[in-house]
Amino acid sequence: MTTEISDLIGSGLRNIGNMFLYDPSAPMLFSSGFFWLLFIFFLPVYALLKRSKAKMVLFVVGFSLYFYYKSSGLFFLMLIGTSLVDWLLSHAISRISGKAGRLAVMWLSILISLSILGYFKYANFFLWNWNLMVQGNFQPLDLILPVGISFYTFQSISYVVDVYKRRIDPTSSWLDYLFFLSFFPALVAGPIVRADYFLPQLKENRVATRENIFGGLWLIIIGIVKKAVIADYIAQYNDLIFNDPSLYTGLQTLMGVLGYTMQIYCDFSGYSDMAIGLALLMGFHLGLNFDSPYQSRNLTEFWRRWHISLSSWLRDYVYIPLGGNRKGTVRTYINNFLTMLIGGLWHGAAWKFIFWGAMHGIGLAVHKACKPWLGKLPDNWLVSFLSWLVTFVYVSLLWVFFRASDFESSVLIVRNIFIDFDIHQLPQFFEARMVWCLMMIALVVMHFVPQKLTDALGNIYVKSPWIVKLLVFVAVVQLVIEFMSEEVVPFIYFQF
Amino acid sequence: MKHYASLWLIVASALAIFIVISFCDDIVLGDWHVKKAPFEDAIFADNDSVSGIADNSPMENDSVAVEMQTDSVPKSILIFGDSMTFNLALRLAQYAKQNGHKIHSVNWDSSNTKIWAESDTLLHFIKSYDADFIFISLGSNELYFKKPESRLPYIKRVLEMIDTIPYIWIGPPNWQEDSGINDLLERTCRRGSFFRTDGMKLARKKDNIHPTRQASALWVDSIMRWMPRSAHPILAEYPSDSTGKANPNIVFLKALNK
Repeated sequence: MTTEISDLIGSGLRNIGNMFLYDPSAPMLFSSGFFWLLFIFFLPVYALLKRSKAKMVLFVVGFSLYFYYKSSGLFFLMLIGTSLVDWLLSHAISRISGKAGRLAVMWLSILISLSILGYFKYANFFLWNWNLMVQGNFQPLDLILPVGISFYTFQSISYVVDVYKRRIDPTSSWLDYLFFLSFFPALVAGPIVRADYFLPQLKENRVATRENIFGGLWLIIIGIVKKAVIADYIAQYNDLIFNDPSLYTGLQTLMGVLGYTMQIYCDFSGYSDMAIGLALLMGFHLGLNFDSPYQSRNLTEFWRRWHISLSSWLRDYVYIPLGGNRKGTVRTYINNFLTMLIGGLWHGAAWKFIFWGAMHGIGLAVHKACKPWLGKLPDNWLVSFLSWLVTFVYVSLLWVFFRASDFESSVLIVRNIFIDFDIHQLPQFFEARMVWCLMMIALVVMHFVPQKLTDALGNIYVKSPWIVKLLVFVAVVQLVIEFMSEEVVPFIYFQF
Repeated sequence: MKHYASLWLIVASALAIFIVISFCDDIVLGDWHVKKAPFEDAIFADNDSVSGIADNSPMENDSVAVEMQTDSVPKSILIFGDSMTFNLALRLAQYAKQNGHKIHSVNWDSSNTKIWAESDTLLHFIKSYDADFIFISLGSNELYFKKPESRLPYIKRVLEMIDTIPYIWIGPPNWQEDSGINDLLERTCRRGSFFRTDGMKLARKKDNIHPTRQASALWVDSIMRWMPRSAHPILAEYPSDSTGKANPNIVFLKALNK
């Protein structure tokens, strides 16, 4: 009996100890229980140290690096190295008086950042394509992509460019810069925080207000619902469709495509909400990253509402430096196209992402070209609806190419929708997948709820009594637990 | 500072609530069975063993060590399950004809262990056909679940319904590596009552999933060759050429989405 108890305690302690170590199969996410366990220890220490900026910075940097270690193992050392090189080069830029020298150092820094990103993210892709061209015997490199490298590389580039353009001064302390680059709420999945927006906040080190703290918690709750309840649940059905589209009818495929359209929004914007909320309760603003993108009535508007931190980064650090719209109509289209191509490649090292980016580039160019004609259309509900419909269908169709494993599957999915579509299956589909359908309906309704109403709900939560805040938080976490173990039944055999 | 304390209390209280619930007995509110956060599993799971849910190890369960004596009494066989059932039943009918058994089949397209566990369909057919030997063809619709262990209660419920009737659970014919349902079935079924199909090379229909009728026949032949090593062997003589066509009594249940 005594041995059993000591074995149990020993095993429990071992398991708890293992939780603190890097586990590639379980990266630390804001929606994980372990993160919240750590956060309980993080919060009081942060609150105590907040008044002393130096201590707060040191503590948050330590926590952020541990957070990164839990997500990417020893790559946290690379993050430290990158930040040190950036910081030293940014000081070199500010000290050099000659423009050519400053420019050379800026490019050196960008080259270093892009080389690291290129090696880990794109080396195998380029080698594979090279191999296809020369018909060689390609062995992929054994590379692990460090989590969040695409996000923090873009942050580091923007910092160095801003220092070069004298928009900001380099931080006097390396730790301040490491704080900016490794800030854990935005480290692994953005938003891409700009130095000129973030560093002044760090300098001020404002104490978070009640609105910040509970507004942040509200955003986290919204994010958890979007990511861990909705996106993770509807993903299970969508995965079935995308994994083997040949098994499904046109209606089922269409639902899978619509499902993925909503899933990617909930997944990404939900995680962004959690990141923004966490930063807010620490007293930092990260800005808006998604602004009801599926309400857009044209592609240009879509990109002003979707992943705003990336699209504005691409605008400021790629599109405008390429010449933007200052070099004539044709160059504007080309610049737009190239920017979206880079945007596509940023999402992943595969031709499907390049195709997705290129098609968005073409779409943006077409919209720009048609603008004079579109401007003459009457401003009524029918035109608005049709504009919305065309934009939504185009964006959703392109998500197919983004998500499907290969080009053939994408074509099969689109073909299925157009050739094997029977609306009469809808009641049966609804009957068989009621929870999924209800979630989708709720999602569409939520997406079109006016921002004012959403803000009002947030305000009510912020001002609500403590017990209400607790109950809402507990209810949401329980919802996550309920849906976490729900498995969507595949129904893959219906063709039989 | 005051607001941070308030926030901390919210998060800490929530965590305390979920930890306490995790270690409590099951909570049921009306029809709602409250699910628990996996704290207990995370802390006390024995990570050194394969899984804490196994009743028998897979090795032991594969077949019985010594061949059992064949039960020579003709049986009233029931085969039930998902859409694989139909083709299996066609070949089993020939074996039944050859060996003097009766065969009844219930084919429920797209079904899985949960559907059978949560309905009284199985009990109804066991009673209707007075079944004294059962073949189960389930698991194909659960091959790629993220958490196959979540199906354990349903598998156990199905086996409870079968009670003491001898059975063979025909494992799903994988077309890709599964996420663990085969291992789970093998561990949960009575020793010598699970036929592992995974690993067999079966010709597939155009959907690349369902074995062809001919492949299904060969699949049944394999099961019948394995029968003497099962927990309760029954007469399973290979159908002679003169057996001819045999039509099983097949009930088709409504598919759920088409």
